[in-house]
Amino acid sequence: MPCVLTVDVGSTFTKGALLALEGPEDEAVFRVLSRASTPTTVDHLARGFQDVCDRLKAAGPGGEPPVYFSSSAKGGLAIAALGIVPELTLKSARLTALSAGGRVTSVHAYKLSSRDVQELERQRPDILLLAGGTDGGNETYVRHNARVLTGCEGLRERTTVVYAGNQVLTDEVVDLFTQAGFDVRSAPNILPEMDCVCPEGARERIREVFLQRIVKGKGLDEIVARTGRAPNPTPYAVLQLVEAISRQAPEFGEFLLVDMGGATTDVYSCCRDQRGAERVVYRGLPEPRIKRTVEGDLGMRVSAASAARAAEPDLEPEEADVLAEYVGQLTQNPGLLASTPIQQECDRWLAGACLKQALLRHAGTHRRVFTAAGETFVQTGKDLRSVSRVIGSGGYLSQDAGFEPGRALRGVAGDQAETLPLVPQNFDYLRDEGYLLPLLGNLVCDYEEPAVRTALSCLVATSTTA
Amino acid sequence: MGPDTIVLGVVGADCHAVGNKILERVFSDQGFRVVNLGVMVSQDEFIDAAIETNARAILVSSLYGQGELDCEGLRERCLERGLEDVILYVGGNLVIGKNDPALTEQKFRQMGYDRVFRPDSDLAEAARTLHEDIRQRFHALPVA
Repeated sequence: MPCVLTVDVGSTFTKGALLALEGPEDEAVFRVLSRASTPTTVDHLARGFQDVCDRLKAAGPGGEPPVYFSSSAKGGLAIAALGIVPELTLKSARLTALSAGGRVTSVHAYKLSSRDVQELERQRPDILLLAGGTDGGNETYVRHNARVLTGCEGLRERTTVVYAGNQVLTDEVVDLFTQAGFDVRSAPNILPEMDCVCPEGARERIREVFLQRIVKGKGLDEIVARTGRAPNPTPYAVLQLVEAISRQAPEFGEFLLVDMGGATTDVYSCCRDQRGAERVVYRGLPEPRIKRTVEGDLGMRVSAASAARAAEPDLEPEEADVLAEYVGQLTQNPGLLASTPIQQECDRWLAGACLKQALLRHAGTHRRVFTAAGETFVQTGKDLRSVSRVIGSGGYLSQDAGFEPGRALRGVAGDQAETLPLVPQNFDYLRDEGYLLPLLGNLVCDYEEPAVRTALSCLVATSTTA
Repeated sequence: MGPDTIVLGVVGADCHAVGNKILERVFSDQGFRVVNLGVMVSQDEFIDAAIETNARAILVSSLYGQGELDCEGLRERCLERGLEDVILYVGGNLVIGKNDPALTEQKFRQMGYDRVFRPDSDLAEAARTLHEDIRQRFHALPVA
């Protein structure tokens, strides 16, 4: 019975599982033998990691199973995104950073101002993703921004520049940064033409930088030396799993995965944005089939105050008062676990608001316009209405069997407003009961098929309608 | 140096798609790199695309008779957003009713459009004119 260890070094907890691969090869699945978790040892990540591994191994059949791991500790993979027009190259840069598993620390459009530079020097991101211009297109802004950035002493040591803009300027930009003593890498343009968003090349380069430089900077290199394996940024592991599900299990259909944590809510969508409907005019860049968004102000604990503000309009005044009091307690003690029925209800209100807002921001809209040719809809963003399954993961969603996403989304898409959000309408809600999905994401590289089978079989269904 | 880039689209709440496709075809055949934004394009979308692609010209179509309202202010907006030199063409059924074409042309030129085209304009001829306008504005200058 071959075993594997999979561990996630999170910002607050380091958690892992020992899994056994069972069954004949073409239907093999992983079975959980044991779980362990410990507070992340931020001063020395390898210590907590080793503690979890030792406890897991002690519970197993012996031997030295291979270890796979991901990390979002010490701020994860911090990326600043630069582009020219907010809706075009900047949007593409942001999307690329998120699809690489990054955390976007700041975004900057057009020419960098001294205020932008101050912000960058304060944030000191791991990577600066510099984009701008289609191939053969604008050169002015990128040239200006590259010159400004090469003068930033504060960024030189720590930040790697990934250039993925107008290819006409690649050599010039690389030379400028190299001469100024920066670590700079070039990638294919993320927007080579106006209708074509191509994040893959830059995403690959970001991954390379993560492995070569950032792993060491965060003290993960000791773990790499012990395990002989490189880590994934945690959201990248989840994305790997989402991609693997769509490859291995097309019958699962179009789906969303919502990973709700204490500080953020991540949404991953896997659905094709069908274009070409009658009476619909499409605006903006085409949407990728697999897309990730992160909401830094929506979460169950650290971000509970802003989530509560989002919840308030849907609550009765007395309910809002109860929630406000609960959020007060959470602010004092972010580690609080709901124990009374009232606290559990408050958690549901918070989760409902996080889910609703995160989906509204991930999804596109139809705006109703009356033209000389009659009623027409202008679509911006991604149409999620064809999604038939929503997966809930993360500490809270995994454990609360009573949470009803349909209740949170009620009325969102139904009214006759001018703007219609394109959120899923009729879907099955599936719960990642064991909170296993990120850990399975680590295994996709070597065990794609068993990881997908295990992921799908560990989901628990509750039917729901919005 | 590759072909010159131009941005093309139908402005405002106008859904007329056929002429737009024909323009894309003709201007591509005449040696332009055409960024076609399609129908119902806002002024800012024209400008966004022109900035990213370093377009030499924006070709605005309007077929449904409300062109005057939709086209007003585009030149000013271009200047405001840093497109000082871009060439602006406008064409189509620009105003409703039987107006004097010369008056219409004058009105749109005052709005800052470099050339104004009637519905029956010869497109190949327009493309040649555009090549010449681009040459004069962008390529005849001494290299800085």
